[in-house]
Amino acid sequence: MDPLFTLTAAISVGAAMMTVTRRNPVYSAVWLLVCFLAFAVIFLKLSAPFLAAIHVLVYTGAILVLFLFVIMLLNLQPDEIAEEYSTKAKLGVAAMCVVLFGFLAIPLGTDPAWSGPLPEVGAEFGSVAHVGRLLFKDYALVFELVSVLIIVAMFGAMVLAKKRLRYRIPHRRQLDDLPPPNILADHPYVPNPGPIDRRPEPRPDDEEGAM
Amino acid sequence: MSAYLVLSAALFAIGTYGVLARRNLIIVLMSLELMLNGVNIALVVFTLGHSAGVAEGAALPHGHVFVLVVMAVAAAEVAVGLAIVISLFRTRRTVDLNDLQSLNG
Repeated sequence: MDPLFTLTAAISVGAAMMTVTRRNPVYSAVWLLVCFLAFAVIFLKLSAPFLAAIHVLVYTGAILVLFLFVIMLLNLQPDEIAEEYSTKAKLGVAAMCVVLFGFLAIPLGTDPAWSGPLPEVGAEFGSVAHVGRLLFKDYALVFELVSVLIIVAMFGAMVLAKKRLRYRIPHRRQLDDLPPPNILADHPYVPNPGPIDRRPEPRPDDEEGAM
Repeated sequence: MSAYLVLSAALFAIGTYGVLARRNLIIVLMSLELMLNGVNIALVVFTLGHSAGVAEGAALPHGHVFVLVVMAVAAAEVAVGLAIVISLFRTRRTVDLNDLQSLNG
């Protein structure tokens, strides 16, 4: 078998396993970076140079940076990183995934239609000119729809991550303290109560106002 | 060619493990990316396989367009998903999936 493929496949599978098993999301993100770079090499092996370039640009350049940016923004403390399931439950899920791998890999790996070596295609195959011609002639409508999707996602992300919406749906705990909503009012929502109080909640046995 | 397909199946399975067995919302989203990448590799292999035997220069990489669309959808999904993570963390102070059960009824 091709040594370059064996090396890249081993790196990508190993890095993917490290990604899903690290406890700290920062380590996961860095292993994901290794994995994505290995994927780019695999795309080059599969005569898809344009896809390899786009993969590096989009995944490592945009998506991974977004992940790292959000991790930085959340600034999770060690006790805020989610607790994980028990080892027994994880082993159960792992066994199920091995079965899933078998279901996928055995038919694909033994199908005679895909058993040969990689076919020879011209050097033009998968180049920017080649893919670009398809994208803007045969699939022009798809291209436009994707751009609409990305614009909608951009607005959605901006609205969702906005710090202060003018009106916010109250939390259930706040709802219990509120008078019943005036259904004739223009806005049934309560106004934004302002920035969240990040101090720990006082315990019930504390005196009112005591620190 | 089958080795590449087995690799894509392996990545899909590893991603599934990450989605099901982890409780940190950020790592679940990363595992989702792994699954999408496994599918992308399979699509590129199929493109190459269907181009075999076609005259030189006549084979067109139709499958690559699908991969580009999948990448765009993945980017949009991550942008919205991470925005949801940020707003959840702002209101609930947690990224643990088991703490987010208010839609559970």
